[in-house]
Amino acid sequence: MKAVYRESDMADAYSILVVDDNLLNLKLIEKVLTKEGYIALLADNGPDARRIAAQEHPDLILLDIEMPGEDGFDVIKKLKNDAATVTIPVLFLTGVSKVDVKLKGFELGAVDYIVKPFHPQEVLARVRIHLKLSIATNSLVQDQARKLRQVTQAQNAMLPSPEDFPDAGFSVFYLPLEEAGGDFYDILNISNQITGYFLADSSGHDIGTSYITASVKALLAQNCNLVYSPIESMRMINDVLVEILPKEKYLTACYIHLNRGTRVMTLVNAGHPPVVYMPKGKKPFFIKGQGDILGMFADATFGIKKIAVNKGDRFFIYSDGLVESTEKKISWVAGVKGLLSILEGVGKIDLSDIPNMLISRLFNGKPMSEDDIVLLCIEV
Amino acid sequence: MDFRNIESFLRVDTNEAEELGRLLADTLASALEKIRRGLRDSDVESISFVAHSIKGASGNLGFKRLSKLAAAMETRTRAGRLDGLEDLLLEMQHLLEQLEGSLSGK
Repeated sequence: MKAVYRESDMADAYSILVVDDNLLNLKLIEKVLTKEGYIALLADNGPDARRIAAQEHPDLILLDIEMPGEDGFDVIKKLKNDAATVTIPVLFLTGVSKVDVKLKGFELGAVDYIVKPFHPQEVLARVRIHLKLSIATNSLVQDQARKLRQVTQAQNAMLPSPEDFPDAGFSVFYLPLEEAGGDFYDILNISNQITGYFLADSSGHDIGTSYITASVKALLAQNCNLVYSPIESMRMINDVLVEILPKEKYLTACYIHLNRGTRVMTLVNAGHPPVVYMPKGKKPFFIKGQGDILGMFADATFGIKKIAVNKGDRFFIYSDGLVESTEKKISWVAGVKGLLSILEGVGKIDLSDIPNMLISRLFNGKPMSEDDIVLLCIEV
Repeated sequence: MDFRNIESFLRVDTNEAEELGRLLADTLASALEKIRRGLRDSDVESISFVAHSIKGASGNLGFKRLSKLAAAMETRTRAGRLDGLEDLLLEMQHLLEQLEGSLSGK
């Protein structure tokens, strides 16, 4: 039998693909649908149905199960395995009212079934309700995607660029895994001579995480100032985070307080990977500083180091996404060794070129999407 | 069996009812021929498939009697039985003639 394919003139109407090997059923459903203003696309066999579905992308498919050759189960399986047709809701038509047949249809991805013989008004009612559901779902998806894009924009707006702080002497690479990244950094102009550099990695990558990011940014602005020492600033922030964070949420963080006047760098570490320090013209090495994570313990203690620095010295702070890879089975310990050896060769490279060059060498090109990555390069 | 029943059952106009009635008559005539062939060849599977198709199509147009006969035929052949099918076939043939009569005498 040859497939029948009809198209209405109404461009904006909903289109329904009807698949049935019985021409009488096709004709009947076509009449009922077109009378109500739908576009009816007709196919009397599975392969034609799949071709029309992929080409025309109908709003809904009414699919007969008992067909010779490729039956309805085969068709729905293939439709759900094809990216072009996977989201189209399928209602199956069956003359068999056995539960296992219906269950099989649902398991394969159908949204509903209609038992034959059916009354055309029942078909119309079910078509309407599933179109409504489909429209609502699509609108929800679009709405959520729009909100996530807003979060991304808001989060990016919260991350300062080197152009915003020309005297801070830093460059950065930032790559969130999802719209709402778990990594975060901030630059704080504490005075003409003092700059704060903060980098944190919060557990999770979800929307909730982005609210934490916003909270931490506000806390940094409130607590990193001339009045509080770096360790006091971190303690204040920790105390507030312990109160406001959900139980399972925490941050690892690193705070560098650089006084260019006194040439003293103070480093506070809160469970974060070690900072790399590269004195000008010398080999880089780690500044290890143990400390508790932020936001978990009210009596947390943090690792603190004070170092006398000189003009041209560099510091590198980063999140674990830079040095860990589950897929490549690279542990944190092995990853940081690799980082150190690559950093040995960047002494004479301009600060602004280091992030991209380092990422390219570490990941042999583009980083894999396993975790958020942030790398902050600072020059005294 | 009168095609005008389609008019009230589906709430369509006379022309549409006639169009569907003719389609049913053609489909049914072809289906009955396939059933006769199936009976000659003792092919229960193909009779069952055709009967299943008639059951649905006639039921959708509101012809309950024809749908019930086809359902009985499908049930029997699914159980591997061919006995009693001739009687069912005769009655189906009779209903087809009634339908054709209503279509030609309109």
